[in-house]
Amino acid sequence: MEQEKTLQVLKEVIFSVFETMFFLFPEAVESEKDRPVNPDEYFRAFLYLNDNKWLLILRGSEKLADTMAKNFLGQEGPVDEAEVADVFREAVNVIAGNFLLKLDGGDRVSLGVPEVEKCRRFHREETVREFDGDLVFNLGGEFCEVSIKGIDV
Amino acid sequence: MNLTSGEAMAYNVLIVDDSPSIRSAVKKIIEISGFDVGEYFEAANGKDALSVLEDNWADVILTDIHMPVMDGISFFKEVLKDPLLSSIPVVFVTTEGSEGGIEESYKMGAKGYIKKPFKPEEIRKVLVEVLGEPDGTREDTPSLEGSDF
Repeated sequence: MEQEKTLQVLKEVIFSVFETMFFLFPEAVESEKDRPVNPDEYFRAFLYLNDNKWLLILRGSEKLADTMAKNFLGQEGPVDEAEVADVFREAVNVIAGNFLLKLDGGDRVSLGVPEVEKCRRFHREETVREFDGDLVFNLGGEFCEVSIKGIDV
Repeated sequence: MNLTSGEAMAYNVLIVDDSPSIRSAVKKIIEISGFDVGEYFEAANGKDALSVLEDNWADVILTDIHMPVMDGISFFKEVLKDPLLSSIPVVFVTTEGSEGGIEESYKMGAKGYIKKPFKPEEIRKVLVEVLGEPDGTREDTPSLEGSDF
């Protein structure tokens, strides 16, 4: 029950942050058929919480990250990769802060400094689970997932 | 120190955040809010912000809390130690949203607290409280309605 509650809180925070910051409306993936294809290139942003005991990871396809950056910066033209990475990094930061706030009021659990990197998919087979998110989202066909490590989920 | 704040009531704004995109978004919101801004200064952390303030005057500081090198709280404490700088209103713009944290910031002397993700109206509202209503005479000032950051 606690696990479900924790993931529900995280899911609600994802919905809220994507809507408010990026004008995007994620759909939680509940079945394989709704799962977007694994992206060949993607951004991975992460940060440690609770004195490095928990790790929050956000992964999103390159196209999704680009859309997030354009929407956040109000830019119609191309956004350079450094800006895309920075916006994606800020996304995990805001998600983490709001997650902790909803989870325990934000008073007890510390927040680290987020990091971001662009990654290339290692496994080519769709069946290989290179991505192991606790929550997977579909944003207009683009892949996004969130993992929380170290906490009981 | 270059004191330019008195020229035609233009405000100098210092934005402190390790994210260039957040600095860019805050700057854009201030621009479309109709405030007459003289100069924007930017810094990626508290230490860089103190360097900026060695040579420039700011009428308001908007700062994040979680930053590498020097965080926003340490930066604010340094600002408060300086008799001249301590008069500059400081507003926190941060993911830190706990009631305890907000209360602590106000006790220290912060003039405002904006939680990320923020709406442009929230930034404008706090700046109006700190700087007063912009004159609103700019014809090219677009509406803030419908915008989020």
